[in-house]
Amino acid sequence: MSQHPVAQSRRQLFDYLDGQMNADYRSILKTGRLENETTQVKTYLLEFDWHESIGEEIDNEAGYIASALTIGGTKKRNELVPSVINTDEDGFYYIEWPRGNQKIRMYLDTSSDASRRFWIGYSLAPSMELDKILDILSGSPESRLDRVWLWPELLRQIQSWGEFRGVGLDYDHRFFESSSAENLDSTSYLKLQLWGGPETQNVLAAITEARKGRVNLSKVRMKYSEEDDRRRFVLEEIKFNGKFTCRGTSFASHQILITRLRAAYAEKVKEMETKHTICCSFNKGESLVVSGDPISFFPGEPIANVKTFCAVVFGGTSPFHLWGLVQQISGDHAEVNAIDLHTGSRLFFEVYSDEIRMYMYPGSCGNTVVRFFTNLQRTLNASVSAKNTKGQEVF
Amino acid sequence: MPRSQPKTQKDKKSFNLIMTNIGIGIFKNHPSLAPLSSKVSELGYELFCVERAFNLPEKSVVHPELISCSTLTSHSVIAEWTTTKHIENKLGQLLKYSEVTTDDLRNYIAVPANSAIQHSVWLVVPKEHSEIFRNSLQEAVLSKYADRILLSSLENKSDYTVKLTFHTGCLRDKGLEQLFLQDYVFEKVPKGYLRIVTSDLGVAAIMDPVLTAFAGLLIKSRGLDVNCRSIAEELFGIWSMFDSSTQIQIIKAIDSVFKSMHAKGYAKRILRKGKKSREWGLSTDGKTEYTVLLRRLRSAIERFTQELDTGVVQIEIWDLEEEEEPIVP
Repeated sequence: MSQHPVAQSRRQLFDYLDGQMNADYRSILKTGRLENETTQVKTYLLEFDWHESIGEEIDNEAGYIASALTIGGTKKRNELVPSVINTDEDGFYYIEWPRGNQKIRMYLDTSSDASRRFWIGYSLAPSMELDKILDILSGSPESRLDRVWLWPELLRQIQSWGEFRGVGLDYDHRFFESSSAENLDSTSYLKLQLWGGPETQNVLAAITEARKGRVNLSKVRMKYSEEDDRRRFVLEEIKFNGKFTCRGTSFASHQILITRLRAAYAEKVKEMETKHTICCSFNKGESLVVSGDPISFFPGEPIANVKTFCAVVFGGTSPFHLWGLVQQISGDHAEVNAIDLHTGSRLFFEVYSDEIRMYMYPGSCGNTVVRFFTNLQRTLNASVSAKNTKGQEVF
Repeated sequence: MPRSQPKTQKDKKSFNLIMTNIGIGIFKNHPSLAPLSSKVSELGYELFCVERAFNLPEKSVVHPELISCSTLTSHSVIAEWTTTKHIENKLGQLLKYSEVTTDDLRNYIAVPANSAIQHSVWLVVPKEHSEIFRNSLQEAVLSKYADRILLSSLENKSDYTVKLTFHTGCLRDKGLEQLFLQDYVFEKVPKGYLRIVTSDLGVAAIMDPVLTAFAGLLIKSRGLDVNCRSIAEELFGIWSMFDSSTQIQIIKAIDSVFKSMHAKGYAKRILRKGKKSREWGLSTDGKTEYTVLLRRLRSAIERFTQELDTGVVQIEIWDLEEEEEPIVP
């Protein structure tokens, strides 16, 4: 089992990971294959909900974070009780989750984002275990951690910042299928990885055209180099859920990329909250005004069964993490009072077969909208679009 | 002390809630209310306030549903909707609105001065009340203020189609009047701007938003009991805008939702009274996951809703029990 050295600051960690990345890269060049998956540097962009605690004095922040990342419950397999250990740098923690007879470790940078909302986790732990932990955390109302949700257009945009090295495509429409006997072995899903240079884009274009409205970009691979020295680069694999796997010669390039992406993502999330939160407030004249407007999501094709759709989306399970009280008005129309299980914030949905209207209220999280949009594209239809009341695209 | 006898109240679909959302949508230019909303917007109308009471000299308190104003036309619209059968009271209120002066608008309601030159009143009633209101308005209000009050009605045409119909009257902004003289059929009207209006605090009308807010607060507080005041603050945003009697009325209405549900055996297994009055929580062994508890809560709510819909139960609104702690607004 690999062991991290206990870095006491982000600087120490970056230097260590830079060395690790370079060693890996040289090993690949020498042997033609990656010797040990676990040595790959994995980085996770995460979103943390401080609730009202931000700005308040927290006596023991490590303890607070440990509690916010603890999952109890009766299902032992889902139980997560981490140790969050302080380092010499404020807001930089070393975290360990006991899993069976091993410990899964991750460094957590909670402070480099000025709002302290978007965290970066760094790890060399086995992907399978760490991904599972983060999935459990982001799916549980007991935890305050959520993943970020990189929608296809954003992934395309990120990829354009560097050189194309491939894509991952997927969709899974089984979510909205009935569980009847004939659907037991449904094949309405796809997972595909295309690795290669720019010419791979022709294959991608052909597949996308052939499976219009279905194929969804879920992962991009790219080479991102330092501007003044192209020998210093990182080969990134970026997944829709904010997971970065990187190799190459420059950890600094990776940091530049993830910081740039975090800024773009944070801006979008903030935009959702400022423009779309339905908010009653007093204006200068002491009058009560209603600001904010809903967002409409238009599925590429009509939702086949509004009742099934609502049962899945508002059932309180992954990937939507929404819990709702569904009022079925008619066969093709329902109204749903809902909460986001991540933040507990209130939402309201008007669901029609050709439109889903989402209202956010004060305290709502922009990440909820992004999660909803990204996962609708993956599970319902890749052509789902989101518009404001002026008819402008939101994403 | 003996417990107060429960009063029963048959809830009805909330016309006021739907109309408030439509009103907001019209003055916020929601696309589902086009072409009316877009043309109103072209005339410069913007939403000024919703559900706000104002103290006016010599007219005491006015409490219109909504006010919209336009600097382009120097005109404001005071909107009112009602399902009341007590037309006399309503006519008195409409007279008060009609008599609002430029000074009132500018100084007490605080409408921007360049929108407060003139104003009109827009009244909307359910289709079935339109005839009686038209006749009463003719006699009582229009004879005096024929230039400034316009009556429309709203009717449900299908599950998500409504019709707005002109009946009688005028507005002082002739451009706006032209728009309101026409009938409109709207599909998929927005219903989420406000989820509760103070004019309709019946259990059936507020149950889903209240219980959703309760579930959300349980998550935020990580399972601690939630009091009705916190739910009210969560639902209404600016709690201080309400006077103390309205605050008490709202808290009582929220508590009634829990009491009505808790009276059912199946709900008692999941819903629990808190240590303090008007405080509620979920029954748990401390080990069961939130998601499981919330699933159980939803099942109980669905069963309760079904019983309400089929008339198996009538909603009970309890008077405030005397032994309960007084509500401090």
